[in-house]
Amino acid sequence: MNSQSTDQKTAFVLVHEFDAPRELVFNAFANAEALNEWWGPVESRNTVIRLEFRPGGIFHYKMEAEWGVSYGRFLFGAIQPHELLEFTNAFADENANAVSAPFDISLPREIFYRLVFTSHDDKTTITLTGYPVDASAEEETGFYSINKDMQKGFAATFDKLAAYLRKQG
Amino acid sequence: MESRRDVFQAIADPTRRQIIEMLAKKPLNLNAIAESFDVSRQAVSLHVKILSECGLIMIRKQGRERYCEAKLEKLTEVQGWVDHCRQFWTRQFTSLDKYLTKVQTTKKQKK
Repeated sequence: MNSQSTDQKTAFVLVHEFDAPRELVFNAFANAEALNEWWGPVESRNTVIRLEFRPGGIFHYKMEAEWGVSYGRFLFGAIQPHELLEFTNAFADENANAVSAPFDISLPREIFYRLVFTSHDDKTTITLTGYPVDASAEEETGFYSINKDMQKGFAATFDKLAAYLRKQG
Repeated sequence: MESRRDVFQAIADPTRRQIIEMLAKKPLNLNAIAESFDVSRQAVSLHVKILSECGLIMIRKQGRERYCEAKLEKLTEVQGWVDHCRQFWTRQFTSLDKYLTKVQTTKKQKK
């Protein structure tokens, strides 16, 4: 196994080789029976609440530990069977809304993961990359859809920045 | 949408990661930063604003110019996340290893 560290330019990267055919490794992410057996922290009892394994689908799961119950969710992005899997992962509430991590370390609220599956001699390698999800992109999209006139939108943003810079000065 | 201003928000965007990298080498003013990107100056200034709100850069006034400086000590929080992430996924993959061994053994026994 081999892993690579992050700097400000790249994301989190982890490479792991499995002694199993690619289809089997990929399908371990695709059905609840398999996920119930392996997904989730070792210190908790983990159960699948809902699994919709399709682009735009959700995977909602429960983690029961000695210290309490927490939930997590995936929102699936691109899915190319046996080759590529993309999803975002976050801690969640019982209704699958994203929440902050239930422990005291600084983590991104939601993380985007891309898993690339490659095979060789009946072994399978997963190359996993992770980025924090860009919440500001959503903010910006929201902002521009309110201001239909793009120029006006940009000008308003720029005024806010100018005001901010004045305060700094 | 709740707005989050932390180091993870700062590095979530590739343009922002590039701006941090540029500023890590030397402080630059907004024009100098904007010249390096194809996107509009307004888009760059929005990224600069977000970076500043996230505590990753400081804007310093020098005469009539405003220079952006990187505050790299904030990036240690990213290292904390990366360590956590590595530990988490290493455990998940170990658990997946065990599952795969189990189902393959069961299959062979059935044959």
